[in-house]
Amino acid sequence: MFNVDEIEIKKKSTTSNVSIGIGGTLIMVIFVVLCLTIFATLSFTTAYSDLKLSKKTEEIITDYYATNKKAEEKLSEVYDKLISAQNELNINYDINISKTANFRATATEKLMELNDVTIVKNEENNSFSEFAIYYESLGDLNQKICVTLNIYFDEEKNEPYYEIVSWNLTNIELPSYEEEIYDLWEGIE
Amino acid sequence: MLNCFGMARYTQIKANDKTIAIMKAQTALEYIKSSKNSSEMDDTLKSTFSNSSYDKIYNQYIYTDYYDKSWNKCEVEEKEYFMTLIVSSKQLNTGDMKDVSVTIQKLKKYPFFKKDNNLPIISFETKKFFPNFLIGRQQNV
Repeated sequence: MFNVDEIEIKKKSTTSNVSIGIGGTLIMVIFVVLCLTIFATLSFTTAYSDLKLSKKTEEIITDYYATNKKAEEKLSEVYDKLISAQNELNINYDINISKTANFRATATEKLMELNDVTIVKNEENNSFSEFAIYYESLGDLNQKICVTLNIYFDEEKNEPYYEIVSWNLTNIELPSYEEEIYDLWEGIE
Repeated sequence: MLNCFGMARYTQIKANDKTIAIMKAQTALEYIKSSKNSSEMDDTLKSTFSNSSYDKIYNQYIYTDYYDKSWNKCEVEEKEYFMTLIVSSKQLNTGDMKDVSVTIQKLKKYPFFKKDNNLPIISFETKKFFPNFLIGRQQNV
């Protein structure tokens, strides 16, 4: 049998002076703090990216409505020219041609005074009337609104009117993608 | 670190607010854009917005909607956000030119943000032209 002294010697030989518990806790705390810092940074980065995207969307939409504003102003200018062409019909009128033809001739002259307005030719492929015009309203952020109007003259009411054929938003310059040609192995014949 | 979590939280809220505000404002502006004439526009806006008033001094209609913190329509007392749509009319010889501006604001400031905190969440401006011949006629867009 062992005596008391022998048991105490055995106990001393198996236990160490260095405490493992405190070190482990410290490492755990450092690890948790590090993880939380990383998560916090990642959360902020993601949120900031979302905010940047929202701001970009806001810029594009602000520019879109500014472009739309210019297009509406141009539309009112166009209609103003049509009305002045109608008023001029009372002064200059060619009796050899119809009232509508008279109006078209005068309106074409008047519309040519406006910048960026072009007369669209009626071709078989398009749905434009005999008298149609086209104009563009340019935005600052590579976008424009393209407007096409069919212009008519109501002989009964003796007034011009228009129909909006297209009011499209497009890019001013389309992005050019570099074409990369890869030499692929064609196999053995 | 806690500051970083806080900043992340409110940056995300700000980003979400901006996105939702853009959608709300665009919806209102597209109602105006798609209106066939001035009276149809007025009817649509009056039925869409909770509050409308007319400012005689500046000759403009003011439409207001209030939203709670979840962006649901609410009463004035519970409002967290509010949208103001101002339509001013300019009579031309050829028709009616509407000046439209929409602004969405937050009642309380965002914490952690010092810059741009007093500005509205979004603000858009546009115009809509209703020609005289449209009275009694349909415009196809």
